[in-house]
Amino acid sequence: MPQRYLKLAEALKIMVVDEDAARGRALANVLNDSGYKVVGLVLTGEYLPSVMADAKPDVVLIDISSPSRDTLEMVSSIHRDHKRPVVMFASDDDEQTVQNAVEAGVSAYVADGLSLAKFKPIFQVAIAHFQKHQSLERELSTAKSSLDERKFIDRAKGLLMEKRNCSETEAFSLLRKMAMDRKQRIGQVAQELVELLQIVN
Amino acid sequence: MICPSTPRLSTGKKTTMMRIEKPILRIGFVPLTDCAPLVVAQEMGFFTEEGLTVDLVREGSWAGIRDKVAYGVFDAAQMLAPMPIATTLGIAGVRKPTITALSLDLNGNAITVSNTLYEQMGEALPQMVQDRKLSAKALKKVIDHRKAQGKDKLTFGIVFPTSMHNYELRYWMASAGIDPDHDVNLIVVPPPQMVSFLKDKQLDGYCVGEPWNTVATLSKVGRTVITGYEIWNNSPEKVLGVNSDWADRNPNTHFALIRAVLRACDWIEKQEDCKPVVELLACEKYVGALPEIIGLTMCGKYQFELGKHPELMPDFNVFGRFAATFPWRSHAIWFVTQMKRWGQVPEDWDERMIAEATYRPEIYRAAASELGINFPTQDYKAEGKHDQPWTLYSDDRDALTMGSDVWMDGQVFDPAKPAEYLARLRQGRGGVTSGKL
Repeated sequence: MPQRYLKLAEALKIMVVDEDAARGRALANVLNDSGYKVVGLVLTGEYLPSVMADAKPDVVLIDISSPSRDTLEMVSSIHRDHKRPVVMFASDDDEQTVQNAVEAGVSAYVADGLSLAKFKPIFQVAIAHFQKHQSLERELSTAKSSLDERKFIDRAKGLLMEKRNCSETEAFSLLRKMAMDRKQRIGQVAQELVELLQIVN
Repeated sequence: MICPSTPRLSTGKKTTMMRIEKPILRIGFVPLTDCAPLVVAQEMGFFTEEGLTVDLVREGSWAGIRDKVAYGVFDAAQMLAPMPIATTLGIAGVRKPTITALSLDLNGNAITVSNTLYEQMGEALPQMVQDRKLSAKALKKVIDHRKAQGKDKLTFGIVFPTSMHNYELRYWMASAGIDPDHDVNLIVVPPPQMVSFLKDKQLDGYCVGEPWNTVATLSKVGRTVITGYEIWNNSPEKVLGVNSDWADRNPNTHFALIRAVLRACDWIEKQEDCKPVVELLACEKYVGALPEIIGLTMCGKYQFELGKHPELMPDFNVFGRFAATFPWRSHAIWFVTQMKRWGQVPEDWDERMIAEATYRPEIYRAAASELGINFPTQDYKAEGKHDQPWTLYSDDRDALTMGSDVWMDGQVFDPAKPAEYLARLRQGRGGVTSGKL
């Protein structure tokens, strides 16, 4: 009996709250695979205190921008439905870890009195997961913006050829000169030019 | 309506010759109509003219705003006016010295209740329909009636524990003898979810900024019982907040930032046509709501009832006039009195010290004077003494037109005597001393 009790106490109950469903599911899987117990995965705008009252998590990992965080802020000060308050894992405990977490876009609320040693590995898994997701998104958005820029460059070339009655090569060197003069990317100059001509016309 | 994909090109007119330490900034905002000064500064080119390239980032939560400014992910952000104080003191969350040197607006909130509760309040006190100041008394009667019948407590939503919304909802309730910690449930709900919570009967009412009151009225989900303006005329609402260390490291950048947003507030104030601002705010990347909805309060009108003409409320949300942009230390002192009133900070903390550390009018004055914008020379003002616009005179500057500043219950606040004020609030109507949030 004491043996079993000890085991239960060690299995921390984790809840993941993330409106980015793919990222949230993946994090829950990673945690489960690492031997932790995920007792809840909240992907949409459910009222957190009710969900928490049922699942009774020891740790809540939550997207830092999630509107539900403001609700958690109140749970962390008091809540009648919640016997064991959760407190935000904040700077006094470990400044660098929190700094990394905020930059990666994840925050954590832990049951009052939970030891840092038990909680920290979980938090680090979450931070690493969010960091990975972030760098993937950055790559995607760079790819997308260079695609967008291509479109603007083509459009700006077309407009210049029409207005100045010049060849494609001439239009492009004109754009390149503007970009060099303004110390901007050629795509940026092209976009501004297209928008400016839209306003004028 | 075409939403601009990049900020308007600068006129090339640089108004400052200072060296900007950090010309590229990330600034956080929450999709509410009072993000207007930041949106205008971006889209009308004021940031560019002050030598700044700004990435305006839409943020889903106030806690996110607080943390990202505290840890340098954002350089600055639209903040709830009590937030620099709460973050500096570390009330329920990260503790980092945070300051504001610019207020973004006055007023802008309202209290909305479900149709059912509105009907019950109207039956309990029919005069409430004509005189909105009686709405709290009407609610008190409904609550007493429910208690006598053994019914559950009513539940009200606020947006954040240390927000004007929390303090004004509590003020309104306490003015009629309702104890907000015991007579009702108060819960935090994100603004965009308020209307659906009201519709699903998870909430009986809430206090929130726009467009979420107008949306409830127009979608027949609820009715506004009183506006924030009517609870306290021209009360503080949002500020531009930065980390104190950041401000020390980047004084010229902070200065340029304040100038750009100050110019935006001034620009909004001087527009005869409110449509351009409304259309910008309506864009998906900003508030993302219909211009017809945003256009009501942003153009000084309030729709209290569906199917009727909206009422004229020119001061529902004030951005430029009445020295609205000035960071009054007396406002900060008032916030600390409310934090004490509702158990968020210990009784013996010094209001004035907190106000001086977090609200920084000297930085504001330096920015405003170069722009030729008139400013108050004093840091503190009494509240509750003017029921009409009034004139603030100072020795060496032009007089300023100030807005009315009365409370619904006629209280007067002297920033030099916060303890007396707090004692009066407690022994008067709704003398609540216990409780937390």
